Amino acid sequence: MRSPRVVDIDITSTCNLRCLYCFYFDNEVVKYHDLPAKEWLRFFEELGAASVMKVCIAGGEPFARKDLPCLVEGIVRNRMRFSILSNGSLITEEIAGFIEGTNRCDYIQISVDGSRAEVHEACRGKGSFDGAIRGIKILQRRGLPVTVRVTITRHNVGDLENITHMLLEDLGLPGFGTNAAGYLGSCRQNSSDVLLSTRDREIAMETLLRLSEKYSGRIYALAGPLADARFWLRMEDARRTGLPQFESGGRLTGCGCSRDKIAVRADGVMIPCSMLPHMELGNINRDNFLDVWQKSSILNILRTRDNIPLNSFDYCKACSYTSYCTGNCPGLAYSLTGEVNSPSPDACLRRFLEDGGRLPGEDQVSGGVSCNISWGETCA
Amino acid sequence: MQPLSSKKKADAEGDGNALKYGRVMVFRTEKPIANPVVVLKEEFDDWAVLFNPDTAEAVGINPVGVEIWKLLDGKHSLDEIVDEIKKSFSDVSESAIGEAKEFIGDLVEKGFVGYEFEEGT
Repeated sequence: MRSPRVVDIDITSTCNLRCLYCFYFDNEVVKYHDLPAKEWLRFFEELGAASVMKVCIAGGEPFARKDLPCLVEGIVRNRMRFSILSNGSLITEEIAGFIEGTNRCDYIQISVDGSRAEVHEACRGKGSFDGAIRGIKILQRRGLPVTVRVTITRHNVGDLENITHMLLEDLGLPGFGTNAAGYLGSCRQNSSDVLLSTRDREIAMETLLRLSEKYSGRIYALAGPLADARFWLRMEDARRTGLPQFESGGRLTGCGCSRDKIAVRADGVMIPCSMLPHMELGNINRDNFLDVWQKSSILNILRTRDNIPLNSFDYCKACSYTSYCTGNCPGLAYSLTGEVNSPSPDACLRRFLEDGGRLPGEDQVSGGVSCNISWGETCA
Repeated sequence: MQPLSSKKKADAEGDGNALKYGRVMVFRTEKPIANPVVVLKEEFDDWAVLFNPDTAEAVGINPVGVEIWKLLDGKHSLDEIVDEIKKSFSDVSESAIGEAKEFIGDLVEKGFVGYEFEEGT
C-alpha cells in the first residue's frame, strides 16, 4: 500500500491501572513520557495528507489525557475515523457525549476480565471492575459502539461462561473479543501468576468453542485460545486427511500488520506494531511519515518475513504440521526467543500436544513428531 | 452566482433540479463536485479507494475512475470530463459518456458527489 490504512497510536504513557499482564509497560526500550498535543495534531495533519483512514487510540489509558477531545478533533478534522482501547474507568458522560458528537467513532473497546470484581481485579487491580462496567453503561446510553476484550489468564479461565453471560445477556453487548495474556511487557515479570497452563488452555479452548457455537458470531478472536482452537483443529484435520499445504502455511505468514498498518509509541517513535516496540523506524514530525512507511529498510525487511519457510528452523523441519502452520505473532516470537524472524513457541501445536495438551473433542491425537525442543528461556 | 446553503435548500420547493425559494429560482448546475470530506486513497497500481469518514463507506475505483474523481471540482460538465478522459486514455469507447454518467450517479447516491445550485431566471 502507498500509505497505511490504519495507524495505532499510544497517545499516552499514563494509566490509572497496572495490570499484571500489560504488554505496554515494563519494556526496557520504551521511554515512558507523553508528547504535547501540538505534536500529535501536527502528525495528524501528515496522516490526513497521506490518506490514512483510521486511527486506533491506545496507551496507557487514553481517557487519562485531559486533552483527548482536542486530539480527537484533530483526527476528525483530518478526515479520519477512530477507535479507542480503554479500561473504561475514566469515561465520563461528558467525554462520551463529545465522542458521540464526532460521528466518527468505529468502536470503543473496554477490557473486562471477569463476571465479578474478585475475578476481574485479580490481574487488573482493586476497584477496576466497577469502573469498567460503569464505562460500558455510559457508552451504551449514548448509543456508542462498545465492544469488550476479555484477556484470558489462569484467574478467569474458569469464569468464561459467567463472563459471556454477563456481557452478552446482562449487558446486551453484540459481541466481544478474546485473547490470552502473552509473554510481553509486564507479563514477563508476572508470568507464573498470569499465564495459562496447558490444562488451562484446554479448558479455555473447549469452553470458548462451545460458547461461540451457542452465541453464534458474537465471540471473536484473532489470537488466544479460541483462535488457536479453531486453527489447530483445522491443522489436525488437514494432517489426518493428508490435505495439501494451506495457502498461507509453511512460512512465517502469521502477521500481516506491516502491510496495512503502523504504530506510534507515546514518545513519538514509529514502530511496526505495538508488540514490537524495540523496532524503531523513525520519529513523528522529524521523519517524513510516507518515507518511513515506503522506504524504511527495517519495515521492508519485516514485510519479507512471510517468505521465510518454517522448515528452515530446526524444530519445525520434521513436524507434521509445518505445511499448515504460519508461525504466528512476531512480537511474541521476539519476546520468547529474541528473534523476530522465528515462529512463536507460544502458538506451536506440536509443543502443546507434547506438553500433554488435547484439542477440544479429541480423546487422543496421534501423529506429530516428538523431539527435544529448546528455545532458551520459556514463558512458564 | 451564489450557491445556496443547505438550510435554504431544505426550505425550497422543487424537483431537485430547479428549486424555488421564495421568489428566487435556483438551478442545479451540471457540474458535479466531490464531497470535500471524502478521501481519495491512491495506490501504486493507479487504482484507489474513495473513503467517506462520516459514513465509513469505501469504494474501490479503477484508474479511469481516479481521473474522473479529480475532475469533479464543480468546474467541469460531464461532457468536459469525458473529453478529458479521452485525452488521458487510449481506446475510450463510445459508451464512455454513459458509463461516466452511471459512475458519477452511483457516487451521488452514496453521497460522495453532489451538485451545486445557482440562482437563475
